[in-house]
Amino acid sequence: MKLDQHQLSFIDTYLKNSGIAYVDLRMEMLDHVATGVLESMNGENTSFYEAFKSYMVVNKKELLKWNKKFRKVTDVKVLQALKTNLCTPISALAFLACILLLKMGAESFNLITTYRYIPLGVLLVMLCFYCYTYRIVFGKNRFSGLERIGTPLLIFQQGMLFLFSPFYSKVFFQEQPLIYYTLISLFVVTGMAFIRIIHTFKKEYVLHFQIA
Amino acid sequence: MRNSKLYKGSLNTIILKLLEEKGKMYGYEITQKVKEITKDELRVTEGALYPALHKLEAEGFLEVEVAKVDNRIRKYYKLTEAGEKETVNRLLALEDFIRNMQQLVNPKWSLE
Repeated sequence: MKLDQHQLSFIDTYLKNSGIAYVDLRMEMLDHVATGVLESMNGENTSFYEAFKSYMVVNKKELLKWNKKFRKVTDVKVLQALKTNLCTPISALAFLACILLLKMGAESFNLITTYRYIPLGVLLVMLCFYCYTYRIVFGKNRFSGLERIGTPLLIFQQGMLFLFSPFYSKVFFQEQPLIYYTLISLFVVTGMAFIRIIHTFKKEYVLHFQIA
Repeated sequence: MRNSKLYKGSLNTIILKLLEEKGKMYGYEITQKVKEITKDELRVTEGALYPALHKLEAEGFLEVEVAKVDNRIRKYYKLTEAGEKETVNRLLALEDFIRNMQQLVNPKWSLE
């Protein structure tokens, strides 16, 4: 015996109305609940609604606890992904290459004044890519990784705006060009890491959708 | 189950050990397997199991395989290479813990 599409939709809607907002979590929870309900229907020979009701009476509290912990675990997952993406030989190489290119550009072509647009450019590319993935690819479907990465992204953006504020950074960076190149390179590499993570999440969730 | 707090610290090791034996498993299967092995003495709840699975996945010890089963998505968890090493380490640590506890609680008992 297996549950039909209407019964699965019923469970999904119930979970959604119970505050399970993320589609990726709901997919896994739906399978868990459906398996439990089906087992109870087979074992106790009851109807779908009776089995579902008795399952929820016993397990709803645990499901909500799972939902609550899921957010925290997703935050850990995002930070781990950021750490993994930043601590790679490619990132280290990109960081050094970026410093070198900026130094060469400033010394040979006197491009230092145009460097102020680089952080802004990184920020724009990142935000456009994030908004495209978050809103256009998945529409109203909320996915945990994409939503939770918003907080570190916002911190990154604020950090960038704070560090490169023209009120005080102009004089300081002219006197300390190496710090300027290092900071720009750091932001470029971190921005690239963010884009890679968002792309990985996108690929994972698109795969889920294709299978579904 | 008489005292769930005693089992709490060992949940990750239990998960890793089961996955090492079975290859790949999904969440519900793990809860049922634990119930079966412990003859209903130990019940792993959803609120404890899934966050532990997701955390192990975030740490790189587990990887996920997604399949469509009976019109719905099912996530299977399996050990990564790092997960296999971690399982060995955690089992050794658990054995040490059990041995030390036995020494403390009842020195006449033995693991061998």
